[in-house]
Amino acid sequence: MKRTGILAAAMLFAAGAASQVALAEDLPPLKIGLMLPYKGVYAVPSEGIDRGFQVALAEYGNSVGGRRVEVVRADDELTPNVGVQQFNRLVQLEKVDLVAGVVSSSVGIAVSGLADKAATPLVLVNTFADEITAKFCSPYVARTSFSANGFQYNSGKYWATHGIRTAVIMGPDYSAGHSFLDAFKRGFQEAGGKIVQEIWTPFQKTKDWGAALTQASNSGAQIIYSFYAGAEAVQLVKQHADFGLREKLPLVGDHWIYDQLNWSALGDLIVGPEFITTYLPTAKTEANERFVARYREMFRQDPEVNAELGYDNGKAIMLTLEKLGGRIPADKSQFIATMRGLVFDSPRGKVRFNASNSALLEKVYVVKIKKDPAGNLLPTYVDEFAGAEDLPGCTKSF
Amino acid sequence: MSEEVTIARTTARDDISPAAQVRRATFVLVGSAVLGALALPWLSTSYATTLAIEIMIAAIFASGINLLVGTTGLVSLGQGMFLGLGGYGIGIGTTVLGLPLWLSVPATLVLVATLAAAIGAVCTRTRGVEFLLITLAFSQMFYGAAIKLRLTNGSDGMSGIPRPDLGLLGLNADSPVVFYYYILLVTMLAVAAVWRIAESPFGSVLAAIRESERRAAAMGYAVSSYKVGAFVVAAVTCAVAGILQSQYTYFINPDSMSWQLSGEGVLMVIIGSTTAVAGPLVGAAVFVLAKQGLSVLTTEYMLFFGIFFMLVVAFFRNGVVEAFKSAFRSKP
Repeated sequence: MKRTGILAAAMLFAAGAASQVALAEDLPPLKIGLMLPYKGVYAVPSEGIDRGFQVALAEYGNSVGGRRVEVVRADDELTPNVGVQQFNRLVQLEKVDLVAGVVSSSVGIAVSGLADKAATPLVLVNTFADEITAKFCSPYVARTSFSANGFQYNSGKYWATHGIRTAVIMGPDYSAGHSFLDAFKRGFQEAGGKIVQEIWTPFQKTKDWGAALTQASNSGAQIIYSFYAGAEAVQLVKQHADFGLREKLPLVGDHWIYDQLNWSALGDLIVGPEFITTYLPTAKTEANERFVARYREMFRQDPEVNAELGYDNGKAIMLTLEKLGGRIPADKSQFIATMRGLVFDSPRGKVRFNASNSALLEKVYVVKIKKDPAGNLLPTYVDEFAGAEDLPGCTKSF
Repeated sequence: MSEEVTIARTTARDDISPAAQVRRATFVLVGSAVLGALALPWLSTSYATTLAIEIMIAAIFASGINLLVGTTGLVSLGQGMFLGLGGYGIGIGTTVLGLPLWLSVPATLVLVATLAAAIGAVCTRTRGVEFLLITLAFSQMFYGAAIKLRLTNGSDGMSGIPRPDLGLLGLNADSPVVFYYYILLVTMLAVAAVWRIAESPFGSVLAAIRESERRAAAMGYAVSSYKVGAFVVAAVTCAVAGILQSQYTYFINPDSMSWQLSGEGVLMVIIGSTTAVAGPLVGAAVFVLAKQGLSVLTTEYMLFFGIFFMLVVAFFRNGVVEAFKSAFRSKP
């Protein structure tokens, strides 16, 4: 029954696409600039995002409204100045219709200012810092993931009401680190928890967490609550274990600390800790099963949270383009306005946008990794809570 | 252009000394460069205009560094701090204090000059590697302040930095072409100013200090004041580059004060030439274009960029400009 439904939908879609081909045959391909930090600390998550993005485009046969969709990749090297150069290259030299991607919040802030002036649609994939869609908001900029507050505020409340009274927060000293952990801190303190100490390590420059871990273990807190991603996350989890703190002072965090893409590097260290995530690959929803199947087919492995975020980014763009018949409106802010109106089922749950173009989280899962007898690692559902609203602060009206 | 060069060469062969010959060729080259720069937005794509903007900003930065490295012989690894201070200066002036740009810019430059005099007074007591390290230390200090302070918005940096309001002329500086001419004007003024300073009696003393500090002192020059003076002029020049850079990107963040940026500036000077006026300009152009060209070709461009830099140092020992000059001189 379900199968025939999908088949019918696919046929309808194909017929629709075919009729549009005739109309838009002579239009040049749509070009999307995809800017990610393919090298360095965030290389691994970027690869996941890129793959998820490809899956979303492949779902539409890499064409929309009869126009082929081309992706032009650029590496922002996690540096705002390079991000600005690459953004200019994409827009002025490659003549892309819109720019997608961007992981680092610092780069996000820099290029969103530029997108605003250049009137070029920018569809951010990560850049979780709250201010991106608050203080720095723009009618030309949207974010398809979620804000730091949306993800972490209720996490603070959750842990405070689940037996944790004291915590140390530890994170990279840049906008995303502060946004995530400040959101956690607000929620944690409002629910009666106490932050004993805050430890910030230099972003992209820290290799040794010895001093930070010693401070944390002397603080007398129950847990370390932390945000790190990519290579830094691997280092921290390993060193935390080397210090023998796994029982005494558990490292609690999110799906980037215990990123599935790092599991092979972490070995058995991944088994045991509880952490929060926005995506459960085993979720039994139609959108997720379709995504997992296609991802497996294309890359011969299971998707994880970064791939899912990349998929949402591509999916939101394709849905918007589809609504616009494959044409970018003359007033390019209308592209983002159309995206803002979208509500769609994504592998992570229902995605909708708020008034300042930021996607919201429907729910956050608490999970734990278990090992089955065959040695496979399985994310296991522990609990869930709702995502929080974004922080206010956008004063522009659009 | 090639025709003009030939003319210059033929006349030169008859009755003009090699020095005059080089001078004339330089004049023709500079002339055509200026003409080319003026016509660029009409001759090429908007992306070339953007690249030219980046080159010119880098060239001002490198000119400032060259006054220390080339003219005075002080290798600094901290000029990024003044670039950053320029950007942060107008950032704080316009977005925090709400001052107009025409007030923020001179105020920033005066402040940078004062600060540079104080820092320079400390730094110029050292020489060689010590000087390099102490300038690096100061720049890391400011980097740390920028990334920690609430006033400067931490690692987010400050955005919304305004470009000049050219409404009176009926122009909008947000347009890349208008902004290009604005940058071109400032670059010509800044480079000319640095050149005049290097050629002035003051500059000659700096060169004397480079050649032999003791001899310069023995001749009765207050060597330390001259060095502080060079430090201040270099700092202000770098701050001008920083102001333009922040207007170009509409934002400033601590990365603009990083030691990597200071290092890149020194590289530009070495690639171009430490002894020629056009050195920093050519160095900046080669640096920006090589980096850009390689990054379009391959994502591993940093590797090739490193090799490229080694080749330049190995084969053009005194920089690209000097190599060009000597190639020209050795022609029969």
